[in-house]
Amino acid sequence: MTAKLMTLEEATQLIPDGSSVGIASPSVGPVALVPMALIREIVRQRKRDLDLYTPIMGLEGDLLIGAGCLKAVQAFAFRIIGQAVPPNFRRASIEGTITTREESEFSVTLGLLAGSMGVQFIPLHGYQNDHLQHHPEWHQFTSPVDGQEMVTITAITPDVAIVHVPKSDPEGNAKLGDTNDLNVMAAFSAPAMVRGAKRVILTAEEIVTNEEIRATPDETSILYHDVDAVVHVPHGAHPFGVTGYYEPDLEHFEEYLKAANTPESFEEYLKHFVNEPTDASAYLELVGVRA
Amino acid sequence: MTQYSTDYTIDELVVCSLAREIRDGEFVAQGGGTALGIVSVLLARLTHAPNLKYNYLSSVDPLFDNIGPGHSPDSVRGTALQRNMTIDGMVSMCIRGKIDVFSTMPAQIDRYGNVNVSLIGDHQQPQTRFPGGYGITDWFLYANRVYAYLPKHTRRAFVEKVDYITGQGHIAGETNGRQRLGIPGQGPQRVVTNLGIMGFDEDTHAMRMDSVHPGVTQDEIEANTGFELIVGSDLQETEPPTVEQVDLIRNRIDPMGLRKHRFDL
Repeated sequence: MTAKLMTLEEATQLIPDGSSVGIASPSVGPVALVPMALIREIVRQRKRDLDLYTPIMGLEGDLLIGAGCLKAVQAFAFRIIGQAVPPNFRRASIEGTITTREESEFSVTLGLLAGSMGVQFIPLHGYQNDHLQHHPEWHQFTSPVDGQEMVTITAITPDVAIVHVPKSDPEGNAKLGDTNDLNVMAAFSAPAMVRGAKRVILTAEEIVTNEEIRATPDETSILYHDVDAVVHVPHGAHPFGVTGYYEPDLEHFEEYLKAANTPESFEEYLKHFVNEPTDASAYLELVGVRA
Repeated sequence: MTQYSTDYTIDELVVCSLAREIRDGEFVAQGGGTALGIVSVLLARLTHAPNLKYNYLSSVDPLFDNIGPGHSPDSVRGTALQRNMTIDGMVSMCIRGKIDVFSTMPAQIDRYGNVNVSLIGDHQQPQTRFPGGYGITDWFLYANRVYAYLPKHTRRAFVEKVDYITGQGHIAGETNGRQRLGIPGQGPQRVVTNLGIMGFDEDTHAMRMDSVHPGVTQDEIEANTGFELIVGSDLQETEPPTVEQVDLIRNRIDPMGLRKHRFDL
């Protein structure tokens, strides 16, 4: 057995500048398995030119854009907890400083499915919208089966997938919690993206023993052979909530949205909440959470 | 004898026009994006289509009849045939042709029913960035009949060419263009606005004015459309909501008036 336990700082070093990074469990609402502590560490380590893959881009992607970490983003929706268009994303779009590859729910789903199955693509018929011109990885071809024009929805296989989980053992056997409480996208995309990605970093509320994983085998969603790093981060999704652990911090979302409205106030936010706290527990103390 | 309402509001007329397009026994895909859509589905089910089924908030056919106080994702989903249909289940259901009807509120629509919910302006440097298309791209391909509704019928919304094709409409001038491309759904059927109801010509699929709402003129619709509409020889006045429909909408389905979002600006 290889132990993969490491610190946030060490795990983040597995993400070189220029990597494609997939957020396996996106935010639809404020309860979501988004690895926020890891994302803040990516900002602290000043990663650059990352290409973000996430079905729905919310606060986490907006933070990375505002901190200058991203060159591109691929998603089917851009919204902070189902409401506002993310302010840094909006500004970067209008200024032309971020490349956006919009796609659709079905193309994300089929791309993740292809990645998780280890096949190059899944063909889709009739897909002739304007998303096509922003996806050079999609190719039009004629089906040898019936002569139909088709598009390859090419496998989504990010260099690194990141996900926050309620429980993992030191090897990376992990549980996502009640999938009924995950959003419609995350319940599918979290295990699928983990399978398709070249590297996987888990952050976990709790590190449990291998015996405890085996005690509820129906609930195991992620297996050790897909996982490269496991980091113990209590409250690691803050300000998102995690079912069975803590509620979302809705006031912090409001504070974020207000701060992200102008580049100047966002700089202050970054300084106060991301760069000044010396580690994840200093951050939690700052936002008033006792881990 | 049908009793028509005399004090209905425009959002109620749009709700009723959309509800009338749903046939009994059909399956409706309903996004959670605007309340007006779910109000029209619940109205159809409480009136002429008691056997319709639908998916909403990722659950399949929840049993509820209003979005009033106490309505929440948990209260809805707890009564469904299936509580949480994940996205791969939705894709499967839709691509295999199980969805009869879908409706949405786009920012722009063009002569052939292409819709834009993505952005205004240049793709890589837009003037306005919207939250993105979610599944609109997909429902416009694979749901059998799709409908659009717009709270403000203007030249900015009804344009010759949409800035970004998020959802594909008909193929310009080609009677069987969608079939040629292997698109299973029949595409946009009707566009309901605050002024009237548009359809699409059966041969060219260009947009056609089908009915004018009471108190609105044909000229008014033409003046607020950024391209030339076909005007049918049997242009009609839109059927107003009935007293029963308005009562159900106001007092049972949507007492808080959530359907008015963007119609009350």
